[in-house]
Amino acid sequence: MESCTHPQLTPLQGQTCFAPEYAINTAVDYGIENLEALKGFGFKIDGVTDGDKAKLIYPTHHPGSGDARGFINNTIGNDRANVLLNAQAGAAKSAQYAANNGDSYVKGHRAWLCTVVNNRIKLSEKMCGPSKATAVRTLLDITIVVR
Amino acid sequence: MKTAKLFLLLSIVSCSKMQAADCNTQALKTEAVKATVQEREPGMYSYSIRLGELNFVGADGKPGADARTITLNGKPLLTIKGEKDAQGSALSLMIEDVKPSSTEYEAKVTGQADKPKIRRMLVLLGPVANCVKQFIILDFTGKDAFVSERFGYNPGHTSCLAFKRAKWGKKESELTLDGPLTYVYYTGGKVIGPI
Repeated sequence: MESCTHPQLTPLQGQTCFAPEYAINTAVDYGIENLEALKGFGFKIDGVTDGDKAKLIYPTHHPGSGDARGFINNTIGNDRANVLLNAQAGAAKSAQYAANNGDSYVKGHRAWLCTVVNNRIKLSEKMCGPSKATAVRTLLDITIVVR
Repeated sequence: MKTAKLFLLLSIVSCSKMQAADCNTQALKTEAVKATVQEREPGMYSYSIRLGELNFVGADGKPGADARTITLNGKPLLTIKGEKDAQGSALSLMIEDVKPSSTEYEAKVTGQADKPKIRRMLVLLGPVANCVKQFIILDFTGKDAFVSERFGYNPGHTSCLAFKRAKWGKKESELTLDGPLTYVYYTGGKVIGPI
């Protein structure tokens, strides 16, 4: 990797360039692209708030837009859910999520992903004026609304 | 007369259409509510541990992402009240769900169909799970549950800390945060570090 020459970028060990703004904009671009993919699948993305969209972006980032489609429609099969949950949470944790949900990896994966997203995307935490934030639904409720 | 009849007929048709539309809307709403209830996951924010059932409960008494209390078999085990970080965001108690080593499970007994039970786990204290202010260990290996002191050097809760991995041991365990910063937890006792 080349040394930083851009005046607005911070050099790290003289080799790597980091600019937080670029990272944020890249994440937003990826998010918007994934929302477009969900629209392409026919989901009613325009009808939900920005906060709901922020939560929806996360499942598209985690398993990818293809599995996000299955997640939203609740059509992921048990074997696929097992693979997805194992890859993300490890064997023991995924087994517990399945056991807590009637020995179903489908429900276990849904419970796990909903917990992850609900714990990480709290819109008001990152806003300058949190009082102006619209109410954000739980991920599960959002998946039902956009179908 | 004919005009009046036509008007009456149109009114009836229009009313019945409105009623049908209303019924359709109602049916859709009922269907959505039914789907929501059917899909509501019973296992969210609830975990099987060696000593029973652990729940992450919000200030409203319901399980959720903004947990202020962790209950063990319905009784409060760990509670935070009105705590905020340096940015003024309210703190919550959360499970670390992305890094598998954050939780230690009981060894699976061959042929036993029981749920895997948690022996020890890391609890996140922060406004969101990707900006943790401090950590707490819950230890269920003894007769009673043990709640560790908070750890993770973060004066005034100004920074975001991130958990990396845990290596659980019988007498002492190593918990590594991004940095890397390693803390040592003495089972049922103090947490020291970073070492």
